[in-house]
Amino acid sequence: MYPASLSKLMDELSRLPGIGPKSAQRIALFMVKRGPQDAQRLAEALLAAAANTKRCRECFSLSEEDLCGVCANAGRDHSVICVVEEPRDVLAFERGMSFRGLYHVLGGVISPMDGIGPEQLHLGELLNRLRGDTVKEVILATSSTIEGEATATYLAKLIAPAGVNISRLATGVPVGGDLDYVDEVTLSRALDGRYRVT
Amino acid sequence: MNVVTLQVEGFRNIEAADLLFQTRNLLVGPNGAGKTSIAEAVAVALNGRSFRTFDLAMLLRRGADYWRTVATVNQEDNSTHRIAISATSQQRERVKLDDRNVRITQLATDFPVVTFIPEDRDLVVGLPGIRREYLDSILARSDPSVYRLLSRAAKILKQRRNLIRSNNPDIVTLDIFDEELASASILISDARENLLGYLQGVVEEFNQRITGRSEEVCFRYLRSWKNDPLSDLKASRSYDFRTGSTSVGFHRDDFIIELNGLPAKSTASQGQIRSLAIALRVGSAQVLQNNIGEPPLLILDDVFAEFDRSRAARLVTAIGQYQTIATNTEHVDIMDDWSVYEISGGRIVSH
Ligand SMILES: [Zn+2]
Repeated sequence: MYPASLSKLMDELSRLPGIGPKSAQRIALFMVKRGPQDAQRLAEALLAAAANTKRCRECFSLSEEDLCGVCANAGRDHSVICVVEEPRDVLAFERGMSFRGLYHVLGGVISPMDGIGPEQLHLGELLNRLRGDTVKEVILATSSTIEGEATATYLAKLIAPAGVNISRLATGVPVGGDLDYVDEVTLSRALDGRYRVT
Repeated sequence: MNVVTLQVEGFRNIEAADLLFQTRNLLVGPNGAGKTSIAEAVAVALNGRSFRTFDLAMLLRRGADYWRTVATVNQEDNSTHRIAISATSQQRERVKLDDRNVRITQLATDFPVVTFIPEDRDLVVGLPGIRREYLDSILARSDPSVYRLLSRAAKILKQRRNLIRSNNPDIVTLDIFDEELASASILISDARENLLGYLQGVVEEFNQRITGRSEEVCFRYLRSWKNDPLSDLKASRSYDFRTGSTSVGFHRDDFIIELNGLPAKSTASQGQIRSLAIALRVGSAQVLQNNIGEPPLLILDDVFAEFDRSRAARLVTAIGQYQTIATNTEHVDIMDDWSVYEISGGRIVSH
């Protein structure tokens, strides 16, 4: 058996996504071997990230400020909003550097089996952003899973009265595909190939 | 496709076994000896799925740390492949095809297997779900786009069920799932009906070859909606809310099997039902062969027990083109030229 503090670390690590008991054990033993200085650095980084990261008040992407770097950037095209499921989808688009507009992070997709309905998503906030005439186009970039498609259809119905152009990210994103795993080239091609919904 | 060798370890009541297959193979042994387990191991080795259970954890031999199957297979293009599948009580199945990790679902298309088990009489007399599953398993292996369609449709159905069972379901969301379900249902029912068109002639021919009599076989697909699934879904919405189920869609369809103009389910004799059921399976082998270009392996579990000598002889002739692995409690005299394995207590006792 391992000493209590080491088992405790393994237990905490194994709760992280993608880390099973074996990896948890490897990471824990590695940290112990490296000594207290490295552990201190990691612990501080963890604390700082958890304490300083919050949601952008406009787009709900991750940010250290009230407004994220994208929303605060006057050089971005404020007339286009790309609607995505999670903050990591924003990173996927930003890596590609082919999109100059703004984002809106829903915080998930409609999925009754996970107990997620429209009321759990940042939909009202999106509608608020469409008031006024700044925004001309909304791109629905949810994944092409059943849930992503249903959410896009729901959004299209919801946004229609706002009178903006609505397009759906079309080609290139594989069925059941997760934007996070789509490479940048595919993503920029998908942006070019988006089609009008209304 | 031909399976050439099979190694089995820690599987059901089999500690370890090595088999070398010919075109025609008979596994003989008393009930519980392990002959069906060997046949099951062949199905698992090639397709990663069993015809006896959905839960592959059931396969692990009592007291064993792991189970493993390794099969070598020759395909039509003369290529040889090695499929190795193993699992432990801790870790689920891992599949290696020619030493590369692959998904378990890929195997069913590359190495088609068609199995007949005595319970297959339910194809004729059983519940509609058994007949839908029969059609869908042929479609899913024949066309990857239909496979994706079927899995999407199953997911839509699951989401819809969760939605109507939830407190205060959002009606716009329900509208969206109903539209998705309706369009998937139309596509699936059309694909199934087309398939039945192909199957009808093939099954009639095999049925005739097995029975030695000319009997007319006719399939009629039954949709669970009248003209438009979406309007029927909307009409049955309050009923669905009460029952927490979805009463219209691809998952409520069925097909009627008619023999000489009468529904086989209620009018056919036991012998007719059995022959029809085998004809349905062998017919599916021919359709799969046409669609994937690879003749399936036939596994016939306990078929010959209830057949008289002449019917058994006709069946053997009718399946002549397929590699076959059959099980039986005793030797069958018309099958002397088959390669026979005798199995007892989970071991091969003679070959
Ligand atoms: Zn922002």
